[in-house]
This record gives sequence, structure tokens and C-alpha cells, in this order.
Amino acid sequence: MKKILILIAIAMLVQPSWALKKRYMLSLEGEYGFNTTWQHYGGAELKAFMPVNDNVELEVAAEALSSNVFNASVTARPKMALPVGEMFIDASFAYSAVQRNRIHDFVGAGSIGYRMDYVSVQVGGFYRAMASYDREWHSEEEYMCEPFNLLYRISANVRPLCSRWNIYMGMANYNETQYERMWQPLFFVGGYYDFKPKSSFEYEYNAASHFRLLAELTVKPTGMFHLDASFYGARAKVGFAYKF
Amino acid sequence: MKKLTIILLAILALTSCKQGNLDMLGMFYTKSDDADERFIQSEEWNNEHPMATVSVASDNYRIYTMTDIHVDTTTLNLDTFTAAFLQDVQSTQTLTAPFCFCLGDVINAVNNFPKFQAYITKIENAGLRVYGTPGNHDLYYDQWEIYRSYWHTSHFPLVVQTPSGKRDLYVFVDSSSGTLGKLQTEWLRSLLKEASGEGYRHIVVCTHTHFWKKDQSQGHTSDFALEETYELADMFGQYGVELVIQGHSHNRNVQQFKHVTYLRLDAMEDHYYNAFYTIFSVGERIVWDYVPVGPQTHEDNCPRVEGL
Repeated sequence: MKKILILIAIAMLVQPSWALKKRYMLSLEGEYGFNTTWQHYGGAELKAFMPVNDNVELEVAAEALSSNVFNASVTARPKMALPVGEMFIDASFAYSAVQRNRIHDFVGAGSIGYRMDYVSVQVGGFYRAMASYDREWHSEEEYMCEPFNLLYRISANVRPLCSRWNIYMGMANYNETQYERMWQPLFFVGGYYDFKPKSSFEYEYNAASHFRLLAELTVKPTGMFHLDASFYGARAKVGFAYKF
Repeated sequence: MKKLTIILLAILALTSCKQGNLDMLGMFYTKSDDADERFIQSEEWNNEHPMATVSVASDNYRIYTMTDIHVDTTTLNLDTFTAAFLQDVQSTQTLTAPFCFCLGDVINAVNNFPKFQAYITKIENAGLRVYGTPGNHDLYYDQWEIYRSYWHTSHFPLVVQTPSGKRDLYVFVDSSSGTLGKLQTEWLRSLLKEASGEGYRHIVVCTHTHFWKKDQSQGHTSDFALEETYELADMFGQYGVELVIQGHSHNRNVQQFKHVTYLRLDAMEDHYYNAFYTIFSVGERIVWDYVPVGPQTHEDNCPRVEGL
């Protein structure tokens, strides 16, 4: 039995992180943010991560902000393991009810990405359509579409993806609930920590911990590619996730 | 290694050399004052020099408008614009307003303000005025102070009164940092709220940065943050703004959202493939006419007259 355990342990050690079987995860995060337009606001985000099988993942997120803005998104992610790393395709749909300004904001996004233990890159495009709450069918003056925006994300981790704690940082023009225009990047730094389960062996290989602590800070400058950049806003999120 | 050295030298040249066209350090922080600081300084001027109501000689009048001139080594299109404006005022005194509009990016890089200002002086010497707001190029390399020394303010309301007592409100706002900032947004909301009940014939907002990303012409130009786009679009719709005139992307576009028309104008930059200035005819309706300028202009697929 001991030999078998050692063999399993070795197998897990040499197995790359992206090839590890992922687990369902449900997370709830509290938010505090500030920006020039909304000033101070708070919020909560509920997120579910669902590995359907070895080749498909689903992500669903919903967010409510005290600035009277409500966001939701769903992402389907077919993926394929490569000899080094993993390639994936994100197909996402996001909706924002900007209640304070009586605007619906719909986004359809498609992107291709590649992730390894320490680095992940993603590039694609998205379509945006905004509509006034007061819109009626055929009223063109209440409808605005932006046919193509570039989507990008690049991030780096200090430890392999499967680690029981990690710190990541990067730049993107989108997150789970907001898709910014291509010249409006979001800079983020975040991390997670998996609480220790009863069995230290399982803990070592991140196989049985259920609770995860999450934190992320995002900063949004404006005018960066005007070459006249200034601070616009920042948002901090802290929460827990339950893996099962 | 050789390539890397060349790239590093190029970056160094762009960021440190005052002759460069791009202030690359501006990607990370601006050396010019930020939007709120510019607002405070402009308000000091506005309070000491309240904007007078400008009278025009006819209920229907024309406004010459230029944007994205990017004065650098030549001023060919600016020559043409100034000559046409001055001639038009002289020949049709009752129809052409005694002022013109400029929506920013008057220069391309440092040391070019005096070249542009020579034309402003020429126009002012004819008893006319130029009303304008800065673009991002006007602030590169810490140029706000230079801009301010010539233009004094970056935001202000302008009321135009016609002989029959009709009044049109033009609000110039400073979006050269891709945001209006907190103070200017509050000022704009208060101004528009008050104006919406005062019976203006037209309320028009003039600014540099565009609000929407409609086509590939904005591939190189940034917009407002989404939160600010929502907020301003709603504010304009709520308080009866009829037209928002923008520059920045160098290409024309007309869109409507929340019953507000967003008009993006062509650049008037020398040697630009499609350089135009725009003449607005303001009466009961606002109609605009794109006027080609410069030797390289191509008019294919360019409708000449549009309106609300």
C-alpha cells in the first residue's frame, strides 16, 4: 500500500498542473471600489466554476453593485491539453443592467488562449450592444452597437496553477463582469490560499481542501493610450470559495 | 541583442527627446495636471472672465469647425481653413458666425503652439474669435501650461443669441485625459440640468474624445471608461442635449443614442488622406457640411451634407 501511495505521489508530482482534474467551485466575494464617476461603491460577486468533463469547463458569474449596476456572465470553455500547456477557447456572453443610467449592455465574446503553469495569454474579440431601457423595437436612436473590440488578457503566477496558494498578476481589458474597450486596460494582482484539510497528504497535492480564500485588486487608469494617463478607479475583492 | 539595443534606443528617444511626437511616459502618468486640476485652474479664469453671450446677425448662422489639426512642420490646411473662414465672414456677414470652433489636437508635439497661435491671432485681428477645448496631443510633454497660456480655459459654456431672441447653448468640455474628472462632471451635470429648463433652441456639447467605438478608425484612439460612457450618455439624454461633436479618431461618424446625436468629425491634419473641416448651419435644424481641404483629399464615398 505504501509503495502504491508513493507511486501515486510521484505520478502527481510529474503530472503538469493543467492536466490535473479540476473540481467544481462556488465562490462568493465582497467588493469595495472607487472610480471617478461612481465614487465609492460596494458589491458582491457569486461565481461558479464547473468542469463538465476533461475537455469542457463552464463559468457563471453574477455581481450586484451598490452603484446600482448588476452584471452577469456565462463562459463555455472547450480546451485541449498539449504536450506543454493547454489551449482553450472561451465563448462568453455578458450582460450588465446599468440601472443608474437606464442602459442594458450586452457583450458576446470569443477568444483563444494558452496557459501553462506560470503564464497564461488570451486574445480574441467581442461585440457590444447597448440599449436604453426606454428602447422600443425599430427605434434606432435608442440602440448603440460596437461591432468589434479586441479582447486580451495576459497573466503570470508565482507558483504552478495547482498550488495550494498562489499569487498572480497581469493585464486584461475584461474580467468576469466587465468588458472594456481595447485601449482601456485593467491591471490586476490577486491570490488564493487553500485551507488545510485533515489529511496532510491530500493537502500537499491540493486534492481534498474544500475552502479557498480569494483576493484581487484591480486598477483602471484612463487615457493610457492617449499618452495622457491618469488614475480612474480601483476595485478590491475578497471572498471564499468552496470546492467539491 | 542588436535589435534590443535599437528598440531601447528608440524608446529612449521617444520618451526623453523633446522633439519626439509621442510622450511614451504619458502611458503611465501624465506630467500635465490631471482633469480635476485643469478644471480648477480653468474655473478661476472662467470666474474672472464670465463667458458673455455672443450675438449673431441672423437666426440661421454658420459655424466653421476644425479638429485634429496636428500642426507640425506645415500648416497648409490651416491656411486654407483660415482664409475660407475670413473670406466667408466678409462676404456673408449675416450668415457666418463671428467665431469658429476647434475641438483639440491643434498640435502634434512640442514647440508647435506658436505656429498654431499665429492663425488664432490672425483671426482675432479680424475681430473674430476661436473657441476651443484641448486634445490629448495638446497636453503631451507637460504642455498644459503652454495651452493654458494661450487658451486660458479648457471648459466653458457659450451662449449664442439670435436677433429674434432664440438662444443656443454650446458647452465645451475637456476630455483630453479620456475622462472629464469628478469636478467637471459635476459642473456639467449642474449646467445641463439648469439649461434644460431654460428654453434653449439647441444644446450642443463639444469635446475632443469620442464616446463610441464604431469602426476600425478608432483602432488607434481610446475612449472614455465604460462607467463614464454610461453616465455621460444618460446625462446628455436626460437634459436635452441634441448634438455631441467630437474629434480624436480622424474619421467622421454619426450615431444616435438616447435621442442624442453623436457626430465625430474628420481630422484637418496636413497630408491626411481624408482631411476635412466642417461647417455647421444652425437654424431650426442643425445641418453640417464636410468641406474637403488639402491636396490629397479623396471625396469617394463621402456624403457632403448631413443634419439632425
